[in-house]
Amino acid sequence: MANTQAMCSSFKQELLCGSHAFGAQAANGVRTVVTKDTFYAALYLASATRNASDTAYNTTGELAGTGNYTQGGIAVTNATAPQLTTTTAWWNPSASLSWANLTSSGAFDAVLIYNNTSTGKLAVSVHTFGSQSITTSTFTLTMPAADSTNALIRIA
Amino acid sequence: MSNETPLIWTSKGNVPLDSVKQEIIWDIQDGYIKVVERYRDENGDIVKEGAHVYSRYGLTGEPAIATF
Repeated sequence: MANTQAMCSSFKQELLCGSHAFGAQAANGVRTVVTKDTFYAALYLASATRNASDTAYNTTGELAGTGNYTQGGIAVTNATAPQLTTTTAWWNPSASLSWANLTSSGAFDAVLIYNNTSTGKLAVSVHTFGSQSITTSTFTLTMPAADSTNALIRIA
Repeated sequence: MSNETPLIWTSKGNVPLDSVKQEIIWDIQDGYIKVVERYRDENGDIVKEGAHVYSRYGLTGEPAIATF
């Protein structure tokens, strides 16, 4: 049992179906998405099994809703629409993810990004960072550089 | 001038800052850099621990297309 960093496989298919809106959609003549979706980040115990096979958010293996952690996680700040740099499309959260005054229910090592607007809360990606417990303090995940080489989600 | 003892908030409540020992741990990996700030009391128990992770890069999906 371990968490594995990955872009969720179902997410790739859902992109082709237009199931996720990280930014407002350009008009395509049939429908126009003017409201982007809200994405959330949830933390998972090191004993969990989060990986590319995940299709949706669920609480299995998530930190318990104790110690100032709320199951479901926190909203991802998304102030910047997806960008295109030469041949690479990319999207990056526009702020760090931070849990203040947290006491984790166990050691955790993964965050699941998911679409909280979608029915069923579709999974986007799993990111790992080494096993960690937090006691009465802050846990912060700082996003990578917002560019086509480092951004959190890239399609090359 | 105040001579109050500086306190720190821990799992055992507010305790004098000089009663805990601070440890700073760096974990530098290919994909992330993590710094852990840990405090132990006189018994060696962890009473406060925070972490800050910097993700160096995210994930890339590479489209595959068929040729005719």
